[in-house]
Formats: sequence, C-alpha cells, structure tokens
Amino acid sequence: MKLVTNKKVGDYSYLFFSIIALLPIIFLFIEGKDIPQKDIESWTFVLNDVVPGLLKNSFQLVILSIIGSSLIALPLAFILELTDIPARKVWNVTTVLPLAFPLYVLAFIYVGFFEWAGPVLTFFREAGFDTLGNMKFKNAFGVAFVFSLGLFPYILLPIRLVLKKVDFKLYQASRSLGKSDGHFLKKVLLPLCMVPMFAGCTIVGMEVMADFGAVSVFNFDTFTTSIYMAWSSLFSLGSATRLSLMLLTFSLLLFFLESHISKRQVPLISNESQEAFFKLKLLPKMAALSFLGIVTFFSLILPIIQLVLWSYHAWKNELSANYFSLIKNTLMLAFSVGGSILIISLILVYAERNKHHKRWLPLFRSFFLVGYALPGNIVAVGVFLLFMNILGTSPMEMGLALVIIGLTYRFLSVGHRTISPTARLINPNFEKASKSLGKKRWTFIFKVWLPFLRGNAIYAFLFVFVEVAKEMPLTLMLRPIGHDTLSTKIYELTSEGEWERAALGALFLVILGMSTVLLMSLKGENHAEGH
Amino acid sequence: MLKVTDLSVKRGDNIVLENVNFNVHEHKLISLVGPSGCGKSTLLHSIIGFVKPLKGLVELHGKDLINIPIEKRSIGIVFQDNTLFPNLSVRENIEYGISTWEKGHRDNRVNELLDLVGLRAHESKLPHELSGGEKQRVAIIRALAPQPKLLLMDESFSSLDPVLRHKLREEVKEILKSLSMTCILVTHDRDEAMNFSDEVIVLNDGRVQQYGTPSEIYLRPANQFVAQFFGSGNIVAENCPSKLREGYYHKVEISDEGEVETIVVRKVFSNGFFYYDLQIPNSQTRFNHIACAHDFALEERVKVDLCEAWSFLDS
Amino acid sequence: MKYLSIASILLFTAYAQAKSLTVYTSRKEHLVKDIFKTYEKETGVKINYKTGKAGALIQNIKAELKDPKVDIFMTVDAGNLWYASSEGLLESTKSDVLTSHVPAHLRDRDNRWFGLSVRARTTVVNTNLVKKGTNISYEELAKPEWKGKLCLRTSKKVYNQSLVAMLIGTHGYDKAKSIVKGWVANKVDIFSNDTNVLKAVAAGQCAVGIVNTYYFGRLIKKQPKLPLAIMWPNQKSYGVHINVSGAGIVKNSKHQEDARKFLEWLASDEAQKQFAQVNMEYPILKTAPQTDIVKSWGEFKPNTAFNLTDAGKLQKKAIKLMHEVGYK
Repeated sequence: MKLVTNKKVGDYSYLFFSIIALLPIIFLFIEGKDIPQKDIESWTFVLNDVVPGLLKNSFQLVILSIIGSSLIALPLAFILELTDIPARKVWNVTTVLPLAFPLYVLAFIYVGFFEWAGPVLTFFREAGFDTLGNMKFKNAFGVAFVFSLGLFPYILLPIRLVLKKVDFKLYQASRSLGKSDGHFLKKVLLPLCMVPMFAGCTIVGMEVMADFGAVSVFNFDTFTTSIYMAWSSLFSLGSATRLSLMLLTFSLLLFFLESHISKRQVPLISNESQEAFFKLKLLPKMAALSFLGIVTFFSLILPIIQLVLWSYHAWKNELSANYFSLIKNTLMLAFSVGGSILIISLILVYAERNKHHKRWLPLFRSFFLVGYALPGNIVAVGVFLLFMNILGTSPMEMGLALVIIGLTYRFLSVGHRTISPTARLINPNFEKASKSLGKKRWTFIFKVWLPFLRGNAIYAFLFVFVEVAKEMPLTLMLRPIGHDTLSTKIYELTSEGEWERAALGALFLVILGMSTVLLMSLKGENHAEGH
Repeated sequence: MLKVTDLSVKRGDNIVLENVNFNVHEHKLISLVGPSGCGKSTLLHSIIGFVKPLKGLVELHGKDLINIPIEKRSIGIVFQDNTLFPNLSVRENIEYGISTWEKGHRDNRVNELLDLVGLRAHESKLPHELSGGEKQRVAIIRALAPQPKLLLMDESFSSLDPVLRHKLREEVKEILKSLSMTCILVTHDRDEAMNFSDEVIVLNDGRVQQYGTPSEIYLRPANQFVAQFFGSGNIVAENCPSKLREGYYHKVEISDEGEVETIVVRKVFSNGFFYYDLQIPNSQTRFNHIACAHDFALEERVKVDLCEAWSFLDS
Repeated sequence: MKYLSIASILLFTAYAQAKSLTVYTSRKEHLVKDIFKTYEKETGVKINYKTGKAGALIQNIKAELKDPKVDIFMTVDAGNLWYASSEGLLESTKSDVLTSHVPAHLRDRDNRWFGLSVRARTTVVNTNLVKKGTNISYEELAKPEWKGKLCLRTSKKVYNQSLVAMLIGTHGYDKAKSIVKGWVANKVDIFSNDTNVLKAVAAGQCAVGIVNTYYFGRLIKKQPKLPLAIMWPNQKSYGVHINVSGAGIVKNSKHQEDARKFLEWLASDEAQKQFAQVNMEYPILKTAPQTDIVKSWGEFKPNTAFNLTDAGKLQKKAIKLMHEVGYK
C-alpha cells in the first residue's frame, strides 16, 4: 500500500508551487520591512513630503472617478435595459468599446485636445470667452473626466446583467398593486442596482489606483508615479518597495471589498421576457438618445477621430524602420507571454481538475492569480526583488526574460479564467475510462483533454496577447534598455507632449483592443464579472 | 360584476381573441381553461389592462375600464412565477401595495394575511429563501392586501409539483371563499379548472366555447372540442349499433346490465379511479375516459349503459 | 566541411570584433549616429551603441560591472553623469588632451566624466510682450511683476532639476526655495517639454519661458517668423546656467585605451564641430566653430562659478525643494 498516493503528491506540488508564486509579494514585505542605509534619506523625504499628497490625490481621484463613471453608467443601464430605445444592438456595442482604449491613450488624446493651444480653448478665446478659453484641464477633474469615459463600462455591465434578470411581470405586478412607475423605480429597480453598482465602483477604484500612464500624462502624482520616480530618478529601490507595499494594501482592500459586496447580491432567476419596461414618448426618447450620443461621442468617436488625424500628420515621419522594430518588439513580447501563460494555465487547470471540492483550493489558487489584482508597478518591483535575491546581482542581467516573467505573473489570471470554467465541465470519468482502456496519461491529454479546450485556449492566448500589448508600467520598469515597445514609446512621447507621434502607435493598440472587445461581446463573456 | 362584451384583441398581426362575451358574478371563483395558445393569458391581460383591445368592452361594476390606467383599476394579479420583488422581504412585499395606509392599519392587515397562510414566521425572509409554494402564497396575499375588487391568477399553480399544487389550490380556494373574493384563474389543467371554480369558461382559438358550471361542462359539453377536451364521452362516428344514434353525443356508464358491448383498449389509474377507453368491436366508436372503481384488464369485454344522448346541433 | 565553415565564421567574427567599442548613450540616435560613423571611417574602430533612458542605462551598467560589455557611458545633464560616477560606474581617466580641451567646471573633479557639448538653459521671451533691454534673471522671474507671465517645463525633467540644483549651490537652500516658490506663486504654466513652452510663449500664453538653447534653435529653424528671442538672463550677475552632454569610461572596461582615444577624438576639433552642429549646441572646445544660428544668438556670460559635479550632488535636494513648493 502506497503511503503517499499520486493524488497527495499532486496536492502537495500544487501547494508548493502556489507558495512559490506568492514569492514576489513575500519579498515586497521582506525588503520593505527594513530600509537600506543609502535609501533612508530618500525614504524620509518620500514619507513625509510626498505620501500625504499621494493619499489626498488618490482619494480625490477615486471618488471623482467613481462619481463620474456612475453618473454615466446608471442612466445608460436604465435606458438600454428598460426602455424601447431604437438601435439597441448598436448601443450595446458602442457602450462597451471604450474598454478598447488604454487609459493612457484616452488621457493624452484629451490633454492634447484641451490644451491651451488646442482647438477647443483657442476657439473659446477667439470667441471672446476668456475664462473658458484659459481653463486648466490638467487637474483632478480632468483626470476623473478621462477615467470616467474609459471606465464606466465596468459599472454599466454588472448593472445591466442584473436589470436583464428583472422580469417584466414584476413591473406589471407593481402597477396592478396600484403603484406608480416612480414607486417601482425607487423601491425595486434602484435598490437592485445598488449591489452591482458598488461592485463596479470598487473595480473602477482598483483601476484608478493601478493606473500609471494616464496620470503621468496629466503630471498628476499618485502612488504609481511615485514608485516609478523612486525607481528611476531617486534610484531608491527601498522607497519604491515601501510605496508598493502601501499601494498593495489599498489594492487588496478594494479587492476584498468587491468580493464582499458581490456576495450580497440577491440571487435572481433568469427571465426570458423581451418586453421593454418603459415605452418612451418622443421627448424622453430624444433625451435618452442625446445622452447616448454624447457619451458615445466623447468616449469613442472623438478619441478615434483625434487619433486618426494625429496619425495622419505624423505617419510620414514616424513610420520608419524604428517603428517596425517597436511593433516587432510589442508582438514578440505579446506572443511569448501569451504562449507561456497558455502553457502554465493549462498545466494549472489540469492540476486542479480533481481538486475542486477541496476547501484549500480557492485560497492557494489565488496565489497564482494575484498578479492581476495588483498594479503593474507593484508586480514589477516584487518580481525585481525576487530575482535580485535569487541571483544576488541586478536582475537586469536576465534581459528579456525578466519582463516576460513579470508579465506572465501579471496576466496569468486572464488565461486561467478563460480556460478553467470549460475545463471543469470535462467529466472526470473520461480520464478514468481512458486509463482503463490502457492508454497513458499523455494520450488522454493530447487526444481528449486539449482538443476539448482548444477554443478556450485560443481565446486565452488572444486576450493575454492584447493585454500585454497594451500594458505599460511593468514593461517600462523591467525591460532591457533599448528594447522599446509601442506602449513604452507612447509613454516616452507623451511625457514630452508629443501627441502626434504617439498617436500612430496608439491607434494600432486601440484597433487591437477593439478586436478583442468585439470578440468578447460576441462570445458573451462579461469582462467586468471576471475581474 | 365583470362584463366582457364582444372583446377582440390583436397581438402583432394575429387576432388572438375574437368576440369574447361573458359575465362574471361577484364572489364567484371562475376558471378560464383551454389549450396552450388559446388566448387565455391575453384575455386576463386585457382585463387588467396590460393589453389594449381592438374592439369590445370590459366593464367592472358597470364602469368601462378602457380609459382607466392599470394602477387605478383595483384588479390584482398573481403570475405563474418570478412574481415577488427579489430585494424586499416577505413583509415588505406584502406591504408594497398598501404603503400609503396608516401604519397601524397596514401592519394589522399584513399580519392578518400572513396568519391566513401561516407564514408569519417567515416575514423577514427574502424571496430566494422561500420554497415555491411559500412564494406563491406570499404572491397571493400580496395581491389581496390592497383589497382589490377582482383577483386574476395566471397559471399560478402550474409551476408547483402535483401534491403541493393540489394542497395549495384547496387552501387558496378556502381563503378566497372566506374573503368573498371574486377570482378568475387561468389554467390549462382540466382538473384544476373543475375542482377550483364555481364556473368554468372554456376557451379555444380565441373564442369562448362554453361557459357553465363544472358539471355542466363535463356532463353536457356544448361542442366537440369541449367534449374532447374534458374527455367525457364521445360522438358516435359511424357503423354504430342500433342503440346508438349517429352524429350524436352519448353519455355512457359501465354496468353489468349494459346493452352495448365494448372492449377495454386503454386503462389509466388516477386519483383512486380507473379511467377506461372502451371501443365497440368492429367499429370506430370509442368512449373515452369512462370512470369506474372496478379493475378491468386490457382487452376485457365490458358492458356499458346508455345514459343520455344529444346532438350538439340541438343546443 | 561543416566544422571548417563554423571555425572560419568564428574567426572572422572574432577578428571583426577585435576593434570595437560599445557605447551606452541616452542621446537620441539621430544625434549620435553620424559622429560614430565618422569615427569608424577614420579609425576602423566600430562603435556599437545602445540607446535608452539614462536611469535604465545606469541600472544596466551596474548589473554588468563585474564583467562589462560596455565601454563608454554617454548622456546628457551633469546630474546623470554625477550619479553614474557616484555609483562607482566610471573610471577616472588620465588624459592631457581631455583636461586641456574640457574646462574644469565642465568635467568631473576626479576626471571620471567629461563634458562634450554645452547647452544653456536660458530665458526666451515673446518679443511683442517683453521689451528689449528688460533686466531678466532666474531670480527676477520670482517677483510679482511676472505674475501670469511665466511658462516652465515640468520639474520632473532633469534639466530643471539641475537648474534648481544650481540655484541651491549659488544661493543656499532657503533662498533658492523662495525663488522657486516665487515662480510657482506667479501662476506658472507647466508643460511637458521645452518645445511646448516655446510654442506657448510664441502664442502669447505667457511672456517668458526657460528652455535649453537647442530647442529654441530647432523651433526657430522650422518657423523663423515666430515672435521669439533669447534674452540671456543673469548677465549682470553670475551668468546663464549651463549644462553639458558628456561621457565617461566605464569601470573595468575591456578597451580602456581605445575608449580614451575615442573620448579624446570627441573632444577635438573635427568631432566638436560636428557634435555641436548636429544639435545646435555649443562646443566644449573653445576654439571649435559654432553654427551660424547659434552664433546669431550672440555672446553671453555663462555661469562658470558653478561646478557641474555639484549639480548631481544637489539633485536630490533640488527634487525635494521643488516638491515642497509645489512646482510640478
């Protein structure tokens, strides 16, 4: 009789590797505990002079962005789910496409658009409106404006999912009980929207805290920009580590808040009724369409037009051999990270196949997947510290491998959650049957298991591919010198205010992003739910 | 009390109800029964106002409802499922329609109704924590809370399992009777229609087939459809023995002294009774759904007695 | 046959690599490409170069220090050069050519790096808004008369950090702080690059801005009609703040001799002319000619009292100061 069964070995290996996966975070804590002597001056400066401002800025930004996004998302959800607005299918797509824009691209588009010498303010000044014409856009309100336009889908989608499940009969029942539309709205519809709205708001909060590129364009100081400043200008790894720990705390707080809120969702039975609740008369219909139009214009149409116009001006100069090497680097990185995540995800999912009843699985699985919940800057510092301790020298010696590992760690969750749900549907009896027929494990894997998951594997690869192409902070911090990608080039150009030159690469990334957003909405997957 | 005159309703391009006429008296429990798609839900919806008729009149206590909005009609409705507001507790659901009442009065009413269905202990629960039967009970008393003039039930028992269905139906019937409520229940279940109501409206293809008491419907079906729907006998087709008249509807009973011989071709046991389909040998004539306590075997010869015969053309 | 060709390839590449230098530079490629090619043509020594941000390059050199693949670190701004040397990344180079061609205040006190071209961080005015002959200085711009008229580049750029470091070195921390505070109090408009500062001044959004001379040169070359002109600040006091682009030999470099020769060449006549020309900077060698555009800006008094080594030393203080007064 075996003392240690294969199953036990499998369990222990999984546990072991999950602890390994947690190492970057562990090292953040280890290194952040004591500050090295040469960093003490920088850290004291950062702690006393910089951090209070960061807290204030972060707080401001999160609150304003949440308010802005909610103001867009809630009415939109009502209009799209509960009324008979025309062209619903079109709006379904246009309200989710803004997710294709990396926030830093939206940021530089609008900073360029609203800058003093730009079209809008110049027009106001020439028309005689001096206060408007000298308006400053580069403040918390400007950032929140951009964030709201880019992040409102994260609130819109959860609310829509809930409203979809509200049976038309409930509305009829309410009317039969003698109550007005307003009463139904107040007592049933709005309360039902609260949980998905708050869950969406925490996700917006997480994205705001994690953003690096957009706030850099606005010259707005946040934890992420300070981590980068400590890393690259102050050359204080100790400060960067400690700032990362602070940001880590906030991110995890928001993450747990979201899980907690989501659990409070009242279970709703799916309903098939297609009927629109509120059939709008002409005036409200016009108002709703205008609102939809305005949101679509600012979140989608204007950014694209501006990008295309700028690209057109710049493309003759920009489209040099240099640009092709940028694209090559971006694609290569995306390809290799996509491939490694695919392989690791498949291994993980296979390892998890008989463990779903085990109570320890969710916790330890989260160790593998935690990278996605954390801002890129933090992951970069953590991975850097890990290898600094393993190698004993600067991890920059690892070259491209460092940034590939960092990105794999960051986006593993994307691959895993695209494959795992379908893999769980595979009946464990298949494998037993295959074994009983005398086939080796590998035969089963290659002839049955993998083919079953082929579609999901392709999707996983594609989703990771796009996320890596768009990613900026981690790539910026861990890449070998001279190895620029589209995103890092955009950072460099936008930090110098060179909007036109940045637009060409940005356009490429946006098109890439749009194809996956469209793919996801066709597949029916909800991006916001899985975050 | 509820008078429907020449009601015609169109859904899309289809005429779903055509020239529907009936009169519902106060304090009566009515069943509206018919096959799927016959328009019974549409009829309910026209009464409550979810649907606007093409032509015709719906009057409640003599008042034309056409211009009265749903909120003001004082007609309650209980659906088949998914009826309770999911974010409100049992108590809050029931209070929903009477939220404008003075607090003491309102609380009394809610307590009274909760006790009626024995759900007082569950008053703080949310709908998803209740069983199917409990949910429907709550839905019914919620509809009753604002003391509507008329209660409509759209297949309200159809999603429950048979035993529960039967039990709940009896319970609700008692409650409605005790409250002297006027109620129209839509169902596709014949047993339900027969057992629940004082009167039955049989609907098919958007037209009223018959309106009468359950025994009238069963014993004297007005036409072929009603007869076949309730399975209570048969029209004699052709080649019938002399005692039977062609084209006539015959009511038969199994009896040792019977004059006509038949063979058992089908046998069903339901609710303590056997129901047989009996075929006259060498003939197309077949009597369906004849009840008898005795256990006959398939292919056994059974004698039947002619009780009554009439032609649909007469009535 | 296979092994023979492999061997010959290895031999060839080994030979080909016999004479080459590796340079890590933060200068833009198009500014250094041609100079490197010229050296190659003249001496046969191939210059391999990698470009990148100064901070990243420094990290990489640090990582390679025990066995460096790089020979020369070339960058802009004394702050970066100081940091590289303070981290022990650069060799102290003995060279009479270098010490004679590069003035003392433009090279490291221990000769670990040498300036190769000079740029001035000067005030540029809108000719319609500021009269000729107005007394202008970095300190002057802190006074309330200049409220609403000042445009500056962001404090995050190392050029401004060195400028403020210079002010600290000249006036002491507290006085420097009050000067920068004065800039901020004058509702200064912040821009992400020097060219945008210049454009804003030209458009009238502000009357004066502080930029590096070559940015002015580039813009004026493209759009000569702009109402912009250099007005040299601090001519009555210590002179205009200058900075350098420079280079040093990396510690433990495997080609110290060749690297030194290259640096000496860069600091000599022909290279200096090309170096300065390509980016409209001032040559480090006094006798090297300036380009016409640069000459047209006239003579000015540069700040020779401030040793640029100190710009690096004081950089951290400068960042702290700018943060304290809210200069973004």
